[in-house]
Amino acid sequence: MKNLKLVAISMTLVSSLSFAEAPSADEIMKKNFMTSKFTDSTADQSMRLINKDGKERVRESSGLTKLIPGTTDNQRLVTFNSPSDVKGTKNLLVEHSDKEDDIWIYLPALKKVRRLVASNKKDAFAGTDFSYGDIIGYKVEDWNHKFVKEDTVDGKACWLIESTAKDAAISSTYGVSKRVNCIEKDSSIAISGESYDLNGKLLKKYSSRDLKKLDEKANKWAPMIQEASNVETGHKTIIEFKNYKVNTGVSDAVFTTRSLEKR
Amino acid sequence: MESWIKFVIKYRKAVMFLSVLVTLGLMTQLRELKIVLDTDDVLPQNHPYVATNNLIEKVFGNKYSAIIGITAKNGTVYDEKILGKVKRITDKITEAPGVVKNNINSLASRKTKAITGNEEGMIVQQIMESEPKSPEDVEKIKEAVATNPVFNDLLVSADQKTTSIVAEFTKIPGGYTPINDYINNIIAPEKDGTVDFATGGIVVFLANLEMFSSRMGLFFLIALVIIGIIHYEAFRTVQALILPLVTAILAVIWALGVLALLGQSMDVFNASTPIMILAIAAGHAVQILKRYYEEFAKLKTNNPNMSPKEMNEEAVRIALSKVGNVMVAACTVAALGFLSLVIFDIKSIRTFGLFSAAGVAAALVLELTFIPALRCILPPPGKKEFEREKQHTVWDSLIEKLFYLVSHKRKQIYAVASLLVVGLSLGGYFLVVNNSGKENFSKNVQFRLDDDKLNERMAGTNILQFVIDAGDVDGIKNPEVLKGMEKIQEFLKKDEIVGKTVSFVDFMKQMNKSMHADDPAMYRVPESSDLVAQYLFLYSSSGEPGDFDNFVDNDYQKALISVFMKKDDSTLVDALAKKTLAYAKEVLPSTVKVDIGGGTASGVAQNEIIVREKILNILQIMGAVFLVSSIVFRSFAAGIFILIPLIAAVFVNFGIMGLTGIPLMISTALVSAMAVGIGADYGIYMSYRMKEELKNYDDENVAIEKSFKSAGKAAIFVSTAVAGGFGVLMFSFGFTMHIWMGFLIALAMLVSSFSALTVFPALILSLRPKYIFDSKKGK
Repeated sequence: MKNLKLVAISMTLVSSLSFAEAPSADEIMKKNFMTSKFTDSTADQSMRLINKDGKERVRESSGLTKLIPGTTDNQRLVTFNSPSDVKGTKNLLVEHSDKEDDIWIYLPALKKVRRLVASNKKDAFAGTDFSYGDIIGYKVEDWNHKFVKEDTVDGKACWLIESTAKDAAISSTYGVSKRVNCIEKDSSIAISGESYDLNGKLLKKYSSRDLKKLDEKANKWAPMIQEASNVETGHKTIIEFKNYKVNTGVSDAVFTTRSLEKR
Repeated sequence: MESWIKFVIKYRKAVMFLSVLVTLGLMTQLRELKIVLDTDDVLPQNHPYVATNNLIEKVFGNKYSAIIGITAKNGTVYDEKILGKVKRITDKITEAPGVVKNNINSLASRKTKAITGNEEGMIVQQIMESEPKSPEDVEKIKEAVATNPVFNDLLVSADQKTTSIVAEFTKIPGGYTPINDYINNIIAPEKDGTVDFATGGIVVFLANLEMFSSRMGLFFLIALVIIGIIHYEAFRTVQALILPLVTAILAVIWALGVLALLGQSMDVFNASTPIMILAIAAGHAVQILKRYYEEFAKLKTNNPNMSPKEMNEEAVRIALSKVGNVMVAACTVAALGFLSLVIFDIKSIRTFGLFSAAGVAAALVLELTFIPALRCILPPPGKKEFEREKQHTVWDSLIEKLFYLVSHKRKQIYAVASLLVVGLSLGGYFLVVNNSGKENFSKNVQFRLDDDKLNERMAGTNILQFVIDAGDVDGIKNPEVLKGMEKIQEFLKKDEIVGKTVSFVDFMKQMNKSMHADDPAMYRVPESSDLVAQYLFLYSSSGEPGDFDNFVDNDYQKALISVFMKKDDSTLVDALAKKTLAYAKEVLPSTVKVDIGGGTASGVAQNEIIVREKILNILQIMGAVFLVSSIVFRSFAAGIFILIPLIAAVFVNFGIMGLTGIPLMISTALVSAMAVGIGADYGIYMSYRMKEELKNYDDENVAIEKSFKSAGKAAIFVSTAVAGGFGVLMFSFGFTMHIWMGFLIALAMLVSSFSALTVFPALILSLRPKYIFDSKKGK
């Protein structure tokens, strides 16, 4: 009997110990949500849009981000430099946790700023295979997260987490009913992932490579290469970041519609 | 020949064993034989339309479409329940075998997005993401369709009573029947009496073609029975019933085995070729059998003391040594004629040539090996059998009549023939070339009824496509090119067979309008290429990459104008294509290239090829027949004479087709090739026999009469049997392809055999060619 008690105690200890080692699925996803949110950042991006036959179109752009102080909402400005027919086109995204995000696009040929109306998180971001949801991030509290197993992707240890939308409205907003991500242990970046559509069919596959710790103090990371591919269309997008700098003191003024119209 | 026959008779068992071994060997090959339905097989791959069509498939992903039309029995399709059906069917069709997931168009498909605008800008929204749950949801869908004219008649009919789901498919190994079955299975649970379903498109057409063609197996068996019965009626012996059929069946097996051995595939368009091989093989078998009975009778009269076994072997030997050479000549003519088709651009015709040549060669080999060996093993004809064969029957009366005509009424023969020539020439004048694939089915077949409904209610099930190649990357964004495309679309819309045209331009105009607060006056091509690029950029921020994949290529160098037509009559389509092409040159910048493709264009390509090359094909076989006959008989005159029954058959065929309104299309054109291939045999057998009998008899009349009663009678047996065998196809209800083939081949057989026994000998007697009459002098 005494022995049995000992066994029971030691088993409880062992299980609580291992629990302490691996954070809960919710905690992992919270870290994942925050890991690439820098106070501000600047970077050059090259977007390679590749169709099912392997034909490629490349768009070069430069981007600025800045967190709205006291929130987790980001402001993002992407200015396209090439190809020449979209040169000067700008995309301004201001996230709002409590209401619809604002998305404006400046078209130099019209010399006008246009608001993307009724646009939501499932729409494609600037013609890529990433949705706005993928760029902004999926609000942790909207999803039920389940720890599946510890895994290894490209030699990196990660936690495999399955996240299902809490209700139909959420799946409808994101156009996704379930996501399965492997969250890299050091950086909390999803190094591989899959998303499933409203009918539960696999829709897209994701991967992130070349992870860099950009904010040593806050332990914040960003991948230098991100890839998304649409299983249905065979189309994929590879975004490569260069000259990624953080906390450089980006001005708030650039994230206004008025600044969009300035050259 | 003689020593070969002696060898076969001596080693009969070994020959039989070897033949059985070869048959078994080739039978094992049959497992490797693939039976495919590939529309590429009947298309001339080097034809520009076909090449463009292949390019369209590669770049834009359109080739094999299936259309499901849903019509509301009461009210309109803007109804929660009906739209729910559309959503469920759309979801299920994405899982269909071979479906191109990104190429599904319906109110509920992911890529069907409405482009609207307001003061703030462009709104791009999927029209129906989920099943509508309220009248408001339905109203939103209705509004979205109403403000996007590109969907009118394409996704929802003008009267709002019909909506369609269009899916594109790629080739799958199991053919199109599994896709068609899948579609029917997903429709079945949605049938509740409130809506009427109609399915169409090339996938459904091909599935029907597969289904109806598979009847050929049954018809092959019926043809066998009928040929057997006619032979029995003609000879009145069991051997006559069985032996020619054994040759015929083995020849078909050998030919199929050879096809498999050469790594060739069988296609459904060649489904009737085995019956033709059956007919040819039986034909030669009958000629030998007839001679065998004649020789057996002679031996019996001249050598009453000979044992039946000896008599049997001797009859086999004499019959084969007399007819063997003729058979070699006739088979060589036919086989080379067929083989000459392998140079054709259409794979199905190449297969036909190879398969038929192999069949003829197999029949020849079998008749020179297996059959004589078997006959030596079988008991000789008994007294009863022998007597029965010698009975005077209706066939003899017919032959006597024909001989009488040739010997006494030649002028009348020429008069009737001339009248026929004039009459049929007139018929030929009315002959129409039309490759409307749908004409292969009777009007009352479900597929045709559905197709008519879809064409009546929606834009049209027949697709013609113009590929606009701007020459440079991003060239399509040039407003001059877009305006030219717009003009071409307007030009096309004026044609009465056109139900709708769609291109990338329609979307650009819609975007321009939406960016100007939906002002209808702004439904026009944007003014600069940068604006086009930036609208597309804006669109792509709400839509998905790939939304325009069916309309423009990745480099914006090539774009498609898709034309939906109510009819697939290739003559009308060809005229439309040609005049549009000329117009395109006027309205597009000179650097822009325009090509024609689309499923219906392939029909036009087939047409051109049939008109131009099918005639060549017939001439080619005739040329081969002429050449080989001239060599065999060592006389060019012989080559010309042998052609007479063939020309008669082809002439009558085309004339009757013109008079009865049967169009010249790939299936009916094959008939002429078959008729030419088979028809030479009668003339060759008759020529040899006349030559032979003229040596034997001083009296020309007796000699010719003898020929009529032997080779002539055999020709009548065979042609009647073949006509009867093929004739069963006329009972393939609903499938005009079979009905017409059955009728035309039966007709061609009867015409070629009768002309071989009327005009042919009449001309020989009138013109007295040396190749026949020299032997008489030599005697």
